[in-house]
Amino acid sequence: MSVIKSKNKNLIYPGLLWLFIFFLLPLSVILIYAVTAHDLVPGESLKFTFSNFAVIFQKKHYLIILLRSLKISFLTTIFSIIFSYPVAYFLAKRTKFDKVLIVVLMIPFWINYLIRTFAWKLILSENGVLNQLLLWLKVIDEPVRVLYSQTSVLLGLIYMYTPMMVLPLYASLLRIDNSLVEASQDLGASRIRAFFDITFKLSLTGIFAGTLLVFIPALGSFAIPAILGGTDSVMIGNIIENQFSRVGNWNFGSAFTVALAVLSIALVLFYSKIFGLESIYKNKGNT
Amino acid sequence: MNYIVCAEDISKSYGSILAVDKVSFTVREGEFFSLLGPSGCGKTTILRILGGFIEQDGGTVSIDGKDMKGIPPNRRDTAMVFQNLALFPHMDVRENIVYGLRKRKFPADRIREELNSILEIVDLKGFETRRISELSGGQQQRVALARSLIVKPKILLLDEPLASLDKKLRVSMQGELKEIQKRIGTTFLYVTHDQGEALTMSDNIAVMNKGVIIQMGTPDSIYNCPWNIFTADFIGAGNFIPVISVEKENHMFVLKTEDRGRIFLRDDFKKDCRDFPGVKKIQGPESSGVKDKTALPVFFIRPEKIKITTKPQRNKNLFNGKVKAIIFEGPDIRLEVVSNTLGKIKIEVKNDGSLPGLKENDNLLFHWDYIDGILLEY
Repeated sequence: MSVIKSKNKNLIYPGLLWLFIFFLLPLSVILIYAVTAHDLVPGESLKFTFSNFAVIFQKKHYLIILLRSLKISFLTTIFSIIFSYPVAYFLAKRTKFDKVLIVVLMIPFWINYLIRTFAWKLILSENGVLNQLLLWLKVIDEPVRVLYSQTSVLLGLIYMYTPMMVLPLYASLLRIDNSLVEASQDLGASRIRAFFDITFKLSLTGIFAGTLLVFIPALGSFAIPAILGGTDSVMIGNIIENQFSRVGNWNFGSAFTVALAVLSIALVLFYSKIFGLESIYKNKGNT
Repeated sequence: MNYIVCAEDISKSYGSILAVDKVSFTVREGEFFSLLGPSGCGKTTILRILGGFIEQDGGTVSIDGKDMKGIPPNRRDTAMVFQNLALFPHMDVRENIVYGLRKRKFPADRIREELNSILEIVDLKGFETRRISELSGGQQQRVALARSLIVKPKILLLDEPLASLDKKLRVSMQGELKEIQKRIGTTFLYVTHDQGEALTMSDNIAVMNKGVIIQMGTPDSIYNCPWNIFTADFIGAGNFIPVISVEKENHMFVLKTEDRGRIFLRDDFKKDCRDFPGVKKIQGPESSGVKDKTALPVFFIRPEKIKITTKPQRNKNLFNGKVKAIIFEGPDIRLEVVSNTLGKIKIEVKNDGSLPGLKENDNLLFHWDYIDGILLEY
């Protein structure tokens, strides 16, 4: 392995070039836009300013949207954990067909997510599948309005990102040796106690990884709130998208993008500090 | 006699494979009892049935006089040391060891007391806050032992706990295990495929093959008086000489080998063997799992029973042979000799300077007493 690595160092350059053109270059353009007031025009000098960022924090409107985005992403993460745990547990511990079932679980990903989001529109609309079913079951007397609300956005996000939670959770559960659970029971723990002492605690690594995979994309999502949401469910992603494609204020859009990225990174760092691998496997000095 | 474990006719099958076939045995309180057999012989299945991790298909298990049917592991007076140790990776040494006491809701000061005394027994003082991954193999072993012993089980079940250690550490852990067992007096039920391990530590051994116990008894009875070819072959080394005819003259069996060799064997050898002190009677059919009853009987003798001599001996089985290989093992020297009448013979002699100048292809005389060796039938 090391021989292959050391003898083919040149093979790294195409990769680096790729990263530079498609990752670093656009990112720097965004960074430059975020700290200037005008479009980038060749021959014109750049004027450095923080005013774009100042706007974000001055307008209460944006703050509300920011908090709403955090709330929706947080709820998405919580529900995705709740929904994916039984699935991941079943796949890892209770079936021999887990490899096949995971492929089945991934089938929806073969379909474009916009189409899947529009499908939710059909389910949730006033004469959609959900309302028809509830009316038929006589649970409700008249159609309820679910679509174009925060609830529908939340449903859409949970639907979209739960598989992202299932996979790391499944992987972490798979790694837990059954003999650990047996040892726990052998030493006097009931089945439920053994589950929480051993299985759940050791699966926190998977929940941790899954949370990053769900929370961060959910925080930056714009298509789902745009399609399923109403006026009360605009998220950060929608503002950014709006600035670029409709308002045409790239500077402000870039500033908001950078702010979202910084917020995400800060949350990840903070989160790793509290719930990271270290804290699961560290010595806690309580007897 | 106080039996702590009584297993009667226990059977277990996985699908169409019969893992344990009507096995019965008893273990006395305070005994070091080993289940010995090759992998797949059903010994671990028996241990897991006793621990309550799997339910037997048939038969009964009682521990300390109570029928264990339907009782889950957490309500049995057993504790298990797992083959992979199963130490909790997210807890430190102390948390691992006191886990059982916490589940039993012991008060904090009792837990501290018990922890201190068990740390002393397994010699792990000062390691309380170490992570499991920071311990050596032997230390992990002792944590696993302490974690199981601290709950004061009636029976400690050990599933090849030393299998993962290197040889030197394994031997020293064998001594430690035996010593701890003597000191605290807990009944140990030990599963192993390593015959040396079973011989050194056990008070009693049950040799298993293909889901049945084929011989039970003290280590020396198992070693010196195997009842069948499987036990003889599985435990220690030996010479197996096929016999084509058995005749009886006075108080002597005369065994003829394929190459017209004649071996004399006193007719009381077998009686002697079965009444060997420590031999346990097995209920049910004695079977080595070998189906072919028409096979020839075999004369079996341990390599260390054969002596080398320079002058002919009277009233002994005396043969000559040619040395094919000399293997020096430090305290012992193993010889491979080919005899015209017996075939290949393994001889083991002490390295006491009695073989000066012996080389390969030398001829030598060897002999053994009429009472030594066993006639084994399938």
